[in-house]
Formats: sequence, C-alpha cells, structure tokens
Amino acid sequence: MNTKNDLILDINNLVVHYETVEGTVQAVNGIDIQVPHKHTLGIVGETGAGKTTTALSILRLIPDPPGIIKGGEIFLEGEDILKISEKKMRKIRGRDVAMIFQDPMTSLNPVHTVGAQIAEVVQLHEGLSRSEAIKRAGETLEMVGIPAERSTEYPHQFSGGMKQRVIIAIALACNPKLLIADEPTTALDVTIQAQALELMKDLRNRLGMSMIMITHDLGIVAEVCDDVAVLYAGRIVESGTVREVFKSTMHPYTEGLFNSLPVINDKGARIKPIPGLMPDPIELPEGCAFHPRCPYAFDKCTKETPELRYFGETHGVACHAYDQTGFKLKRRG
Amino acid sequence: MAKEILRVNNLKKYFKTKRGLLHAVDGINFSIEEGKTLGLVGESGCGKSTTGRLILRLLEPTDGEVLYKGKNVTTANKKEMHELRKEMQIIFQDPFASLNPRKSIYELISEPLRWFKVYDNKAQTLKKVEKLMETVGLAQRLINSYPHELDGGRRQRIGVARALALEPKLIVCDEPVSALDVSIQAQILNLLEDLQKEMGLTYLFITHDLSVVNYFSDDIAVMYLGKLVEKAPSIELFKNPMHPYTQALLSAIPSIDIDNKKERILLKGEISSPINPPEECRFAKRCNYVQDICLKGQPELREVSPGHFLSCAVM
Amino acid sequence: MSKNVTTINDTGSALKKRKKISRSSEIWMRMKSKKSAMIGLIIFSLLILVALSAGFLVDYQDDVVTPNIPERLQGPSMEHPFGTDSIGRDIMSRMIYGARISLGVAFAAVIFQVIVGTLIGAISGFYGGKVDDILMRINDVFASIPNLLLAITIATALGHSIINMIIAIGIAGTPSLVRIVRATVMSVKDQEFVEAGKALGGNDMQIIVSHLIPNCIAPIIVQGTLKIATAILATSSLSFLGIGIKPPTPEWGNMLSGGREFLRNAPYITVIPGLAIVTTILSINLMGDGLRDALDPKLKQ
Repeated sequence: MNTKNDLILDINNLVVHYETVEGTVQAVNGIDIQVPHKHTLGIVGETGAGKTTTALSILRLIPDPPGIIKGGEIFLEGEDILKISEKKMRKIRGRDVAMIFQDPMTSLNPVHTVGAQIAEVVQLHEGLSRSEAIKRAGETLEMVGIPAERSTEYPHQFSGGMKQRVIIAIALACNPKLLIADEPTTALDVTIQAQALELMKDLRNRLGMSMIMITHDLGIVAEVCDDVAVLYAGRIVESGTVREVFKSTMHPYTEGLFNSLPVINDKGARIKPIPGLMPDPIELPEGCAFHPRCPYAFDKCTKETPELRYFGETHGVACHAYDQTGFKLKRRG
Repeated sequence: MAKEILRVNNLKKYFKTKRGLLHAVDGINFSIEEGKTLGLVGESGCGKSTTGRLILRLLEPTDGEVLYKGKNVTTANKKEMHELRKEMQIIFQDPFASLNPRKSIYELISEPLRWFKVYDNKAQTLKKVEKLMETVGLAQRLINSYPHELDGGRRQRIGVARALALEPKLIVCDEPVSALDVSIQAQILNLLEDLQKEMGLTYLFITHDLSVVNYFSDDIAVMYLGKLVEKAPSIELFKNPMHPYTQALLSAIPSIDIDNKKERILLKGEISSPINPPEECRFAKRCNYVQDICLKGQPELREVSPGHFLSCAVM
Repeated sequence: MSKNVTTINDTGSALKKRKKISRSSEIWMRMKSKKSAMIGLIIFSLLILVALSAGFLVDYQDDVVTPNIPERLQGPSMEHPFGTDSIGRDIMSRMIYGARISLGVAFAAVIFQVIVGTLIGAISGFYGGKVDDILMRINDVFASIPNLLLAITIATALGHSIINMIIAIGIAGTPSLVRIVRATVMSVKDQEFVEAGKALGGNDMQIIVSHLIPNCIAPIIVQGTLKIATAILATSSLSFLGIGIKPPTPEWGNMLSGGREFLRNAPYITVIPGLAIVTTILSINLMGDGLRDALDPKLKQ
C-alpha cells in the first residue's frame, strides 16, 4: 500500500448525514479513500450512492444544514481539512482542489464574460493584477482548445461542449493539485463527450494533476482512471486498480453493474439487471446494505455489515461471501 | 415475409425561429415491419425526437407522409386520429416530467381507458389497471401512490403501463431509459423486450445510446442534423459501419473492455446549426474525409449491400 | 401472462414502512411554521365565525336597523361595547351583521373572479395564437381601467343591489386573475405530461380539466385569498361612496361613511369599522403570503 506522503488525498472513515424532516439520510457511512499523486481515481455508483456527497466533503461544501460531517478525517497533503478554519479552506478551494460540476449550463454566471470568470479565480488565489489575470485567462482558454479572443464572450455564446471546456478552464486556471470531476460529461453528446474526456486526460498528464472522476459510466472509468472505488449506499463495496475491479470483479454489486450493461459485441446475450432498487438512505437495511438484492446473500449478510478486506495489495472488497473458502462470482461472459 | 406496419415518406418538419427556418427533420424515409424494432440513433438536436412526435402527429409535419398500415396519419381527421391513438403510443424519456404530479397511479393509468370509454364501469377499469400494473411489474399496493413518491424506474413503469393501456401495436420509445440508473435501465429494457415478445409489439426506439440500441434493435437508422445518414441491420451496422459519422459515433462509446483499447476517431468541432443549413452535406464540416463533391449536397440513401443503406458521396 | 417480467423486488425499497407525508399535510406543516400566517388565519377564521353566527348573536330588527333616538351617540359602555351611532343603534350589533355583508359580498365576488378568470385564462393560455390575442386585448381594456372606477361604473350602470355589486367587483378584479392563470397554464402546457395526455388520445377539454387546471390551483388559491382583501376594500369603498350597500343595511363601508359628520364628537363610529376593515385585510394578506410560501415548493428553503 501507499505510504502516507505519496498521497494527495487520504480520507479515513468519513461519515456524512443529512438531517431532514423525514429522518436522517445516511449519505456516506464510513468510507476510506486514498489518492496517490498523479493518480486518477474513479468513484462509481448509482444515484444516491453518496458519490457527490463524498466529493463535496473534500471541499467542505456540504450544505449545512441539513448536511453534517459526522466523523472521519480528510487529509489533503497531510493536513486534516476538517480541522482548519473556513478562511483557510477558502484558499484551498479552487487553488489546491478544484471541482467540475455536472451541468455546464448552470455552472457559469450568465452576466459575466468567460474571461472575467476565469480571471476572477486567478485574482482571488494568486494575487495577480487584473490585466495579468485576464492574460492568464486567455492562456487557460487556449489550453482547453478555445481561442483566447473568445474570452470576451458570454456563456450563452458558447455551445454545450464549449461551455464544459470553459468550466474545465476555470477549474485548471490555478493549477490545482487535485481535480474533482463530478459527472463532467453526462450532459454532453457522445462525440462531444469523447472530445472532453480526451482533453481532460491530456491536461491531467501534462499538468501532473491527481484526479477524482465521479461517474455512473463504467466505460468512462475504463477510459480515464487508474483506480476505482465502487460505492453502494454510502459505503465502498469494492476498490482496487481498474484492472482488478474490471477483470477480476469480486463484489456481487459490481458484478450486477457489469451484467446490466448491454454488450456491444454480443447482441444475443440478455442483460441481467440487478433485481430491486437502491435502498432508502433513511432506512438502510441491516447488515450489508446490498443483501436484499444480492443473489449470494446468506444469514450473516442480514446481520453484520461487512468491512472492506484486501485480497492482494490493493484489491479490497466488502462482502461476507468470501468467508466461505473458494467462493467465486459467476460473472457473465 | 412480415408485414410493413409503418412507413415514413420524405417526412419534413421545419420550425420558424427568429434566425430562420430550423430544419429539424429534413426529408427522411424509412419503414418498420410488424413485430420488429427500429433503432433511431443520433445526438441531441438531430431531430430524432421530433421524428417520433411527427409519427404520432403530436406535431404537424411540414411535408411528407406517415403511413400506418397504409393509412395516412398526417391527413387523418380528428375522429380517425382518435382511433389511431389506440394503435400508436409513446413512452417518454423523462419519467418525472411526463407524469402529471397531481395524479395518482390509478388516475394516470386509467386515464386513457376513461377517455376512450373502453369500459362502462369502474370495476372493469380498476381490473384492467391492476392487470396493467402486474404486467409492468408494479406492486398493487402502489395504486394510490403519487409519482413523486416513487423512484425513476417505477415511474417509467407507469409510463409503460399507460402506453400499453389501449393495447397499441406500435410504440415509439423516446429515450425510455436515458434518465435511469444502469441497473434500473436494464430492468426496463428487459421489460420492454418481454412485452414485445408477448404482445407482438413494434417499436421505434429513439436513443442516443448506441450500446442500448444495439442490444434492442433489429435495424438501426443513424440520424444527423435532420437526415438519415445510414441504415442497416444492427449486427451489420456494428460490424461494418460505413458513414464517417457512424464510425465516429461507434468509436466514441467509452468501452469497459480495458484490454482491447480501440483507436478513437475524434470529430472536429460540434454539431452545426440546423437553422438554414447550407446545400452541402450536413456532416461536411466535421467529416475527416470531406471532398469537393460533399459540398454539392447530401446524396440520397442508397443501398450499398442488401439491407445496408448509406448516404455518403465518398464512402 | 407475465411470468417472465421482472417484478420489482420490494424489500429494502424506498417505499418501505417510512411514514409518508402527504402533500396537504406537508403544506399545512409549512404554513404552521410561519407565525404571521397563523395569526392571519386565526383572525380571519374568527371573523368568518362571527359573520356566520350573526343571526344567533343579535336580533336584526331590534338591534341592527331600528333607530333608538334617545340612546344616540353614546360612547362605549358595558351595554354598548362599541357605543351607538347617530340614531342610537348598537354599533357592535351592526358590525357583526356588517361583517356578514362585507365578507359575503367579497367571497361571492372572488368566486365569480376565480371561475371566470380560470376559464378565460386557461382557454387563452392553452390555445394561444389568435384566441389568446383577442381575449388578452379585451382583458387589457378591462385591466387598464382602475379597479374601483370600473366597479363604480358597472355598479352605477347595473343599479343598486347586492347581486349587482358582486358582479361589479367580480368583473373589476377578474383581469389580473386571467393573467395569472394564463401565465401558469402556458408554463404547464409545454410540460411533457400534457403531450403525454395528447398522445393518449385526450381531447383539449379533457387535457385542460385533468392536467392544466389542477396544476394551476396553487397560484389560484393564493391569488383568490389575496383578492378577498381587495374585494372587501372595494365593497366598503363603494358603500362609503354611496353606490354600494345602502343604509339601513349595515356594511362596514357605509357605517364608516355614516360616522363622518360626527368624527369630532364621536370618533368611535368611524374608527371601529375602519379598524375592522384594516384588521381583516391585514389578516388576509398575512394568510395569503403564508399560503403562497407553503404552496410554492420553490421557496421552500
């Protein structure tokens, strides 16, 4: 495993709840995440798995109320950001850690030029003069493949794909060490998505950033990430390198996700959906949260919550089934 | 030989906008045989949803005709149209927006039955609603729930139940799974597939997701800026895509296969404006193979091999 | 028939046991959390209660309309808590009966407005185009005349009677309601469930009634509530000006008017109906604002 100083991000046992009228939403229930320098981690999960909550926690942007970080530590280059002042945190946001949000249509302010929006971030964090900041904005736009002249245009003059590039430019303007991308291409068309992913991959390599890619699309993980963590009901059920998780899948939920995907080259194969629905995060089932939908579930799964245990250096899985010697999933294909 | 159930001839829909005529659908032709599924694929703004709505005449076409079992839908009068609604139905993309938030599941599913006065008493209607709920896999106890109390997958099942209520022959599925999570998406796809087998339904399956359409369709038509660029049986299309756009589209799907990384064809730029499009081939601006001949106009679909139609001057 | 259709396995689903909060109780909870709205609601409910039970509380002939000259212009006392007016009638009794007239006329006028306004607004918003143009221009003509002036004109033209007054105030207040319903219908009309309704074979009327109007109810309720205040004010103003409810029938406006000459010696004759009008309108506005916040989920936070 990685030693502490190799890590840009080290999350230990993070718990985040939302207190609502209807009850406590257990959004994140004790997850551990390690991101080494220059690595890209994919966080995969379906709606309500706790992906975005995890990301927002890293920036301490959980809306409070109703959200509360109940416990855990988030070390950003060795410093626990849950313990520092809000003032200091504001310096970190945008400079050390930047985030790209899902919807390119609403993340830009319609009344400012895109150049001004990039310059604002640079001015704020690097104390550059206005003119220097505007120059830097132009450079950043060039970097994402938009001519610098367009910095005087307004967001509505850009197409969806171009807007997402502008958002990437804003995120990269201060050379962050860690970029969190929350479903950055979900709102884009396939061919535009391909362009945006290509761009992000290229910039990540050039700038030597670490990245967290939050997505529901396993294909994107395969394209972009080094490591992957699969989230279900606020817990990591499986984590490891992309090869480990994709090629020797161990958790029944991960298996279910793969089985739900139509296989491009095998038209005859019928997809096998996971039965049932995501559990209500207000009333998570006892034991393993996945047991009501799990074909392998047995007695113990309904009582004890499985901990993540490691098979090999990096491949972790939280499943009781591996108590039985010789247990194997029957993954399709 | 299966019977043709739907034929679309030179269908056009132009919208007037402040900046000019928007060519949403610009002269497309295709047909579907009974019991088959045609996948209509394209990116946002290519006119695929408009096509679906034109077929059901939720929009009035600018030109062209839609023939359902030989009957012209576009010229049907009010009464004929009312009858045709029983035969042709639609499942919408967004299970949140397409269900009136103030109606219970019973009201939503029974609505078409009540409107068409299918049954003369409430007990029979209730029985039919219960049967429909069973068919689409909705628990009976949800009958008085409201859409906002349900998750996306269940709502989409309501959408399916409504579409089935009048026992139609043809269903236009307009991105029925795009708003859903992967595991739920698979449930709905399987449901639609089972229903097709049991009831002999014909689908026009509109989507932007090529992996879904491949799984689901017998034939696939690829649409770009209001025109069909390629149409072929789905196996053929995936094995042997000929139009540069189809090739790029296929290569752009992020693949979960980490061992066989394919070479990706990246397209230049973005979809151009459908408002007052120039004479040239609609794809010319982004095409990697563009030649002079492409600027003269877009060729008609022609059959290049049995069942495989292509609209490209170069390939 | 559907053996191989995957039925959703309901264990652990979002629908389990959890207490479901129904829409109406959710609205009520939000309304309750707002103090000003609750104060408004309580005052207004009391007023309605008083108006409804007027017949039990006082004798119309003896206490309300029959002059009693010897006891004229008495200040508030145990016997007459609000004093007596210029011809010796008990102001308290007249206020109670007056509430019945003022509120009754206002309610009736608002019901008129809601029915006519919803109908015109819904048709105009749904069909758009020429129908909309014509209806809206007519509406604009009515809207451009100040409400009170319009009501005065109509009331004068139709002659004095309670029914005519209801019609006058009703017509005067309708244009703004038409606008609101039309705007709401237009925003709902483009939603997908309306298209879904068409695809399922619904005709225009079925779609308007079953999809559009139910989704306009919230703004209609809010506007309707606030309009009651305006209507009360209009009723009183018309009566004050002498073209509404005529004495001896008590109405807060004409009571206000009747006290004018005695303002210096017996201010309570005017002050009490004046206060009643102000309190009623305030309570309705507080309630209406609270209702708006409670019904509009977008302002939830």
